[in-house]
Amino acid sequence: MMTSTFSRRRFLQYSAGGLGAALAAACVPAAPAMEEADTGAAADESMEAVNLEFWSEGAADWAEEQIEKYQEMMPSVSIEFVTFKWGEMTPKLMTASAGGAAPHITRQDRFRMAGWAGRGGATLLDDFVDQYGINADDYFPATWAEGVWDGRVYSIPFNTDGRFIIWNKDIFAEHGLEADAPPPTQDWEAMIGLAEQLTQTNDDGAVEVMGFIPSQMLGYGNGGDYVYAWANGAEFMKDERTAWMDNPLLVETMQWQYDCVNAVGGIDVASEFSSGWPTVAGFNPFGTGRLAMMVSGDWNLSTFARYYEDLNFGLAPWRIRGTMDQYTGFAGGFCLAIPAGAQNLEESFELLNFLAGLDSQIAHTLRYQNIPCLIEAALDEDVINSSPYPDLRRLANESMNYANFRPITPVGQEIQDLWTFPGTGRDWVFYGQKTPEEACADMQEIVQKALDDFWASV
Amino acid sequence: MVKRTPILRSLRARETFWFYVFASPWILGFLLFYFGPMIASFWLSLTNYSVLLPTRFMGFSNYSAMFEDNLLGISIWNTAYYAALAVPTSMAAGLGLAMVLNRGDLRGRSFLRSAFYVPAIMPLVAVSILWIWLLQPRFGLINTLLYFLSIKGPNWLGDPAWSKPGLVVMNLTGVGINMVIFLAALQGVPTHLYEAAELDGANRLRKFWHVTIPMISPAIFFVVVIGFINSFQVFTQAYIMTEGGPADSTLFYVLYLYRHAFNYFKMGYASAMAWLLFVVIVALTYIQFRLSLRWVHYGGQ
Repeated sequence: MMTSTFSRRRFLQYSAGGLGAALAAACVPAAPAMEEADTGAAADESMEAVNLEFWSEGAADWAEEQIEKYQEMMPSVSIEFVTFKWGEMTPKLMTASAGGAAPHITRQDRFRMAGWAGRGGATLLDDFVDQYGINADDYFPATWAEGVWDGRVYSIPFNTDGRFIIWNKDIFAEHGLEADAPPPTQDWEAMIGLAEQLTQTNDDGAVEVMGFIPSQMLGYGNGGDYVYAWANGAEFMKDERTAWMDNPLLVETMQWQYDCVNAVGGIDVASEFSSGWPTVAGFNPFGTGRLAMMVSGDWNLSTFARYYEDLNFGLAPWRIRGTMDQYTGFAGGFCLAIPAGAQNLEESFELLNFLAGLDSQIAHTLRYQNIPCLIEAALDEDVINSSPYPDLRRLANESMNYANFRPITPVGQEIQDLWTFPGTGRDWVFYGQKTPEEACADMQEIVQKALDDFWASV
Repeated sequence: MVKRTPILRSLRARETFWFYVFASPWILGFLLFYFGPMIASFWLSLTNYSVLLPTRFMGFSNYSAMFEDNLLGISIWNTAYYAALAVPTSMAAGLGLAMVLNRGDLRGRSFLRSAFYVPAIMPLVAVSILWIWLLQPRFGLINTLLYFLSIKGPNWLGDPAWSKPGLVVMNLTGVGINMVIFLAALQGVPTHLYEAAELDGANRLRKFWHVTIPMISPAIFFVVVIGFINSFQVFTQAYIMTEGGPADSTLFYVLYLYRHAFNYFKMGYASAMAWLLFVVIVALTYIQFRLSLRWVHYGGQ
C-alpha cells in the first residue's frame, strides 16, 4: 500500500527545486555584446521603434532638453533617461552590466574609462569614430587621451574642468603684496612662505584667515594634489604594468605638501579650519574671505558671481616648478560611452554623437558654465561671454590645451584614492604616521598589487 | 489492488501543509534573496570575480591575501573599537531614557516618547549630513554646548583620535529604538516585585539592580545582540561624513569591503571579506548566547 503525505522534507525538496530553477534562470549569461551591430542588420531596423536608455552623472536639465530635441528629429526613438549624483553611477552600472541590463549610453567620469575599457566593460568605438568622421584633433588633447585604452577609443569627451590657483586679491593687498600678480607657484619654497605669511589667527589661537592648504580637504579645494605632481615632473606609472607611486618626484611632492600644511600650523590646525564647511555653493571659505589661496576648478567662477559678487579674486594656471612661462593643469570631467553588452549600437551611437556634438556641448556649457571638450565650443564667443568673468573664462578654457590627465590605467581609482582623497594615503603623511618615503612605498605596494591582479585576470 | 490514501488525511499533516503554505513567502524570500546570494558569494570568494573579466577559480587565495592586507587589519580594529563604544552607550542611553519616560507622573510623556523616537526613523544619509554640522569644531552645536561648560570641544571629525567617538555620539540619534524596546520591557515588570523589595528595605539603586535589570534582561540581551550585529556593519556614516578618514581612523570594515567591490572591481576579495564578517558576527553572537545563560532571566525562571 502506498501512502503519501506532504512532509516537511518533501516541502523542502520542492522549495530547493524551485530555488535551483530560479537561480539557474538568473545565472543565464547576458546576451553577448555587439552581435547585432556586427551583422549590419541594425541599419535596416533604423526606422523601427527603438528604446534607448541613457544614464548620466548629473546634468539632468541639459540631458532632458537634448533628448526632447533628438526625439523631435527621431520620433521612432524612445529614450529613457536616468540621472545619478557624481560617483553613484559606478556601482549601479556594474550591477546592471553583470545582469545584462546595462544602459545604451552613459555620461560618466572620464578618468574611470580605462578601468571599464580594460575590463571589457565598454564598447569599442573605433568604427563609429571613422564612420562619423570624428576627429581627435577637435578635442583638447588630455580629454581625448583619457578615452583611449590600448590605442583604441572607448569614449567621446564631453565636458571638462580645469584646476587653477585662485587667490583673494584683497587679502594679498592687506599684506602689501602685489595683488594682481599670480602667486609664485613655480617657487615651492616661496609658496610655503606665502602660506605662512597670509595665515592669521585670533586671540584664542583659532585661524581667522587661512593662507593656503595645498591638499583637498573636506569642503573645498579640488585636484591640486595631481597638479603639484605634474608641476614637479612626476608620473604615477612607469608603464601599463608597473606602478611608480614611489617615484622620488612624488615623494618630493608629498613632502612639500606636508611642509605647506606645517607652515600654517600643522594638520590639526588645517583640519580644524577645514572641518564642517558644507560642500554646497554659498558656504565656501574662499568666498567668505577666510582663505587666501586655493587650488580649485573653474566652476568657482559662476559660484563666486552668484554668491560673492564683491569678491576680488584672481585665477591663473599653476606653473611648472622652476619656470615662469610653462604651465600645467588638470582636465577632469565627463565623457559619453556605450557600455559593453548594449544593444542597438547604431542607434545608440547616433544618439551619442548628437549628445556629444557642438551644439549640445555649447548648450551644456551655457547652462552649467564648465568647459566643453570640443575646442571650437570652448572658444566660442557666446560661451566665453556667457561667463560673468569672460577674461578668466577665456584663460581657463584656453589653458586646457596644456592640461594634463590622470593616469590611464585600470587601477586609476586606487591611485586617486591614495594620492588625493581625504582619509588614506596622503593622510598617513599629514598626520605624521609615515614619512613621505614610507607612505609612497606603501602606496606603491598597494597599487602594484592591484595592477598585478588586473593583468593576471586579463 | 493498491489502495491510495488521500494526501493530508490527518489533522497534523493538514496543519503542517498550511504552516508551510503561509510561511512560504518568507521561506522563498529567504532562500532566493539571502541564502542563494550567500552561497553565490561564497563561491565568488573562491574566485577573482570582477563582474566584467573572465572569472577564474582561485581556491582560498582571497582569504590568505587578507593576512597581508594592512588596511584590512585597520578596518577590523576601527570596527571593533566603534562597536565596543557604540553598543554600551546606545544601550545605556536607551535604558536611561526609557526609565525616565516610564514614570507615570511625567507630563507630556507621550509627546516625549515620540520626540525621542522620531530621529531613529530619519534617513541615515540626512542624519549624517546634519551631524557634519553638529560636530563642526568651532561653530557646531556639540562644541558650543561644551564651551558653555568651559570645555574646549575636540575636532570631532578631523582628528583621528576623536573621529570614532564622534560617530559614536552621532549613533545616539538612533537611541529611540532601544528606548521603545526597554519601555515595553519595563512595563512588563510586575509592581509587586518592587513592593516586595521596598518591604525588604531596598533603595532605588538596589531595586534597579536586583529587580529591574534581571526582569528586563531578555530585552537587554536582545539590544546587545542586535547592537553588535549592526555596529559591525557600520557604513553610511563613514561613507557620507568622513570617507574613511582622517588617516583611516573611520575606515570601517564594510566601507573597505564596499571599496573593493564597487570601486576596485574586486568582487571576489570583497565576497571573502563578507564571509569573514559573517563568521565573526556568528561567533560573537554565539558567545553572547552562551554568556546569556548566566545573566538573562526569562519568565518563569
